[in-house]
Amino acid sequence: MHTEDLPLLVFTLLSQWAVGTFLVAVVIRLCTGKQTALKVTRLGIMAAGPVAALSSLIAALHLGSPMAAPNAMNNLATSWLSREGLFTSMFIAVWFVVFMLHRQGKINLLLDLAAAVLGLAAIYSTSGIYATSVKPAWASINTYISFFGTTVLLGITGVAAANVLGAKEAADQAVIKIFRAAGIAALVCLILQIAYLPVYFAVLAAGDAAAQATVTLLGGSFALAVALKWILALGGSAVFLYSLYNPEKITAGMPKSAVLLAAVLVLVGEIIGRYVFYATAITTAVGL
Amino acid sequence: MSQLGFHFNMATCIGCRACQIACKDRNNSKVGVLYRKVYDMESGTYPNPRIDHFSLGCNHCAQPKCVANCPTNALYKRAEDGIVMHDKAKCIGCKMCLWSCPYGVPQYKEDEGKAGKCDLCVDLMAKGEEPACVGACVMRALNVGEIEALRKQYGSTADVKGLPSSSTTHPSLCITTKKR
Repeated sequence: MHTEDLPLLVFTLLSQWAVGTFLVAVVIRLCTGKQTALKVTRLGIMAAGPVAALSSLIAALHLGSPMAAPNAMNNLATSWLSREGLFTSMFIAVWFVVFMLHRQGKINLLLDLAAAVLGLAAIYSTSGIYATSVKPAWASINTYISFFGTTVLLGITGVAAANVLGAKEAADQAVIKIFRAAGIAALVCLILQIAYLPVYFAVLAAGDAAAQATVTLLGGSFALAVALKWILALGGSAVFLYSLYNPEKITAGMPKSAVLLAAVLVLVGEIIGRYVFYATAITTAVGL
Repeated sequence: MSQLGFHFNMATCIGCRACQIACKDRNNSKVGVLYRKVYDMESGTYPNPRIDHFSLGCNHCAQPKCVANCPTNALYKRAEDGIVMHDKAKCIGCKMCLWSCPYGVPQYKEDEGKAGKCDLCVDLMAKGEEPACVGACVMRALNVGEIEALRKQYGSTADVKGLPSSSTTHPSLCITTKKR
């Protein structure tokens, strides 16, 4: 991976964490009573906006001319980077209103949903940036699957971690049930991503020289990193589910250490996965 | 619109890099920045080794991904002649053009924090002169003109072993290949 890609690694993971955490918080707000929702999603909602803003700042600072960053929204007609900038800005703007309402003890589900949709549109746009490049490793539906998978996984563990760090409202059985469903959703999400990998590898293997070079890297020098990513992500999801189904512990609410361990395992797995994403992308070029 | 483009004759190119140097001189490019580059492609095995040279600048593609993906409209296709131009004032140095061009044409200029690329020497062309690369070619292996006229004269081959598929961006380029 080139050093210049490091800010992009941080940016994509932070923005996906922010959108995912907000999205899962909104789902919880849709499924529980107002008072419970206000407590359970407090830290998650509070963190999503600043983390998204931080990710945007990192993205802007990696530009060659950061002061001209607002120009990045000049080509909404065809550029996914322009659309990413627009949707991310709108997500942060609507998040701010949601956050201010939350502070006043109010929930407006319409605004919640609007911000969640804008966040998902930002993730879709980010995926589009990579999918329209001339790097076969990225110019694939796998990029969309991977980015949305990361968003959901980081969102579920992010909200759960925020919950145990914050209000400890998860002793509420209704909330436990929601997190159980979320834990299963996270596992399904991972299984779907893994299930698509053989197709991804097969398409790359049948592609041009750059695509074949990517497969060689993924199956060779990066094989261990690829395996580690999935082991950590699956392990984190398993720990998360165990923490929610352990009858001895669950009466006192979600066990803090297990939830935090799950969040850390998933996050480390995703960092490794994103590193592999950048490091194995070979550009279609002259002479290959 | 009459699309301008290049014809390149692989059969006569000797890989002297006069075009590359003329372009670099014309654009006052810094070390490592090449708007036109000559590639050497080796093939075959002893006793029949081969080497081909390929001179490549911007192909001013019919469907340039660099233009579509540029978030600032710094890259645009000129209406009158299809030249892909770059407006330095709008460029933010995001490198999307570098991720978008299969020919590796746009270059990132570290000292400016912006990208740059071949503009077909529009100022010379406006005076009725040839682009620097074409004028410098000692073997007359490079030609510039309306791409349809060039294709009629030289054929429409744009796919050669070692080049990315022309179906990606439809380059305004035609190539005379070596007869083997």
